[in-house]
Amino acid sequence: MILAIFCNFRNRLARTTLTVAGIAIGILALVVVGSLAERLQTIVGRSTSLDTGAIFAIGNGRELFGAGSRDRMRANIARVRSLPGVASVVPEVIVPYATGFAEGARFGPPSLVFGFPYAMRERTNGALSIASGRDFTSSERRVAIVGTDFAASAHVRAGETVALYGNSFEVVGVIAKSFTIFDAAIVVPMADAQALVGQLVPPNASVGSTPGATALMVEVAPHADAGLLARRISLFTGLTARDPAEVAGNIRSTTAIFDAIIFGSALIALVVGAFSIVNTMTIAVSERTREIRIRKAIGAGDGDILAEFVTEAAAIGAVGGILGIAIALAIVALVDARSAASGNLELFAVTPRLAAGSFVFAILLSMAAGLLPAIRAARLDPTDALRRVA
Amino acid sequence: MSAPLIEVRDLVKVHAAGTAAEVRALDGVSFTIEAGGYVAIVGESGSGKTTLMHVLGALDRATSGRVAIAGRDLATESRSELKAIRASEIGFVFQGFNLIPTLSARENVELAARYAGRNAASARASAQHLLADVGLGDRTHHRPAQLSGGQQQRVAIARALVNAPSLLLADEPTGDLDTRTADAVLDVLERYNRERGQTIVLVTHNPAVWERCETVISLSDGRVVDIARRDRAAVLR
Repeated sequence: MILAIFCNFRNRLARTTLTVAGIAIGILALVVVGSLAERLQTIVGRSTSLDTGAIFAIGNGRELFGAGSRDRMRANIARVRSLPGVASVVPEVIVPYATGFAEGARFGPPSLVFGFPYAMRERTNGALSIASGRDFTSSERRVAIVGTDFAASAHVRAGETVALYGNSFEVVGVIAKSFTIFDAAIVVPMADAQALVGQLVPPNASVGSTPGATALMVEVAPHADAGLLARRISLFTGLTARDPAEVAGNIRSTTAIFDAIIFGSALIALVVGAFSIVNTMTIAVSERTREIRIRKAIGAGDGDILAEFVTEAAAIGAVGGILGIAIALAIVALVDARSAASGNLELFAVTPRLAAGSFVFAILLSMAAGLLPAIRAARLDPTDALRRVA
Repeated sequence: MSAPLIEVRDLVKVHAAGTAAEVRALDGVSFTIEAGGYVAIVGESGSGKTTLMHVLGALDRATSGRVAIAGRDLATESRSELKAIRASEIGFVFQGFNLIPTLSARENVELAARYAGRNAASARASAQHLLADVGLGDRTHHRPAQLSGGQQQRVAIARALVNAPSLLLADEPTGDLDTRTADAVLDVLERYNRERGQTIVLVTHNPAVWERCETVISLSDGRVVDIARRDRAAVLR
């Protein structure tokens, strides 16, 4: 049967090639947009896993830069710690990396400078593992570890220097790619980060002191209501705190809408490809009517004819699927390589699940598309096979 | 006395029954053919020869009457059983050869064996053997377009015989061949009938063909008008 299918392909090369191309384009679209969705899910999944169950409370305006802001932040930390359901409160400093290179030119999450207590590293779920160089120690100052994307876009490596608000920091290590916000981050010792915040305050502002933190990571005690706790933090401190479940839910619904849009677009392309199979197989049945009748006259059953045509459609789907996946892999690899080289977010992730799923889908869709013409072929009356060839 | 291989009794076949285009193609046809027979069905165009071939070949069902092959009444067999009968009990040789152009000579013969449910090795061995037997052992990989008309018809005979059928039906098997090639094809058929007892039923209106048969059934307007039986020894050369 394989040989016969190959012969049929060869005898109708132009039409078969066009049909295969139709399926390949559909699968190409499915794999490319699917890989986009896969990457997005990876980023969202890993980023949300960084602060699972924790409330992120961000300081703003008066809390950060007004007179006595350091005292107010200290008071806020004490207030939050006293709230029922709070397991621990970790102050953090997060400031934008706004100078040095054209930040606006890169695609992906913004580059931020992070400072948090050294012990906090353990809670980053491996997002700060070092790819090259080393981590800094708790006693070091004016050192930094930087994310892979930041290193690529700023053209810095371990051992080189990066300027943060006019201060030189030695890059001691590059963080391994984690597809989290840390890929574009600069992590410095907490004391250095606190000093950077002070530099953000306008020189003519009435400054009593600079805050010791710009945000708080509030760990919620087991069985406590994180949503209720977030509302209490906002109410009692003036910090902006959001329910982690609500944040995760918003992200999930956003990514679900995104997934639906991109998969819908890809499916349209694939359905168009499937119609080309219906067309090809219908023409094939018309052209091979006499041959089908001969086959039935010499003993082929309806099932034999049905199986042959459906297998032929599946073969078209398989070839188109392999071709589409191969082209998609090449395009995705090319685009991602260019993105990585310039420090941009790598947009695509062709996972084995996506590739295998697309291949199987191409075959199943092609079989479904070939089914109607195959049924028509199987129902042909063999009696005309005995009539004289016109 | 043993039962006949083919028993046709009061066979009626009506096309487009109940419509203005209704045609009574066969009208009360009755005859029997013994196993090992070499029979010609003759008649003018429109006499019902082709319809009779369809019914005998389990390609079409009778409107009424009985058609039995090796004791199996075709009227009572299911669609899948008729398929099985076509695959294993009946071999067809067509006027226009009707080989599948994309397959080689061997693959054409193999195909019929595979449809009968035989495995690839068995089908291939039988195909090779039969093609050698009809004188095409060196043409097994040729496609139909690379073979002469006589060679194509011999491939068709090999295909018809690959499942050792009880009955070989041939519709104008020499219709597209010149006299010399036609004689060679008939020689092959006769050899299988004489040496192996293969039952052969030919549809023809060529006297040169039916004169070589031991039984000649003449049809006219869907009825049997004559059944001529001749001594086997006098017919077979």
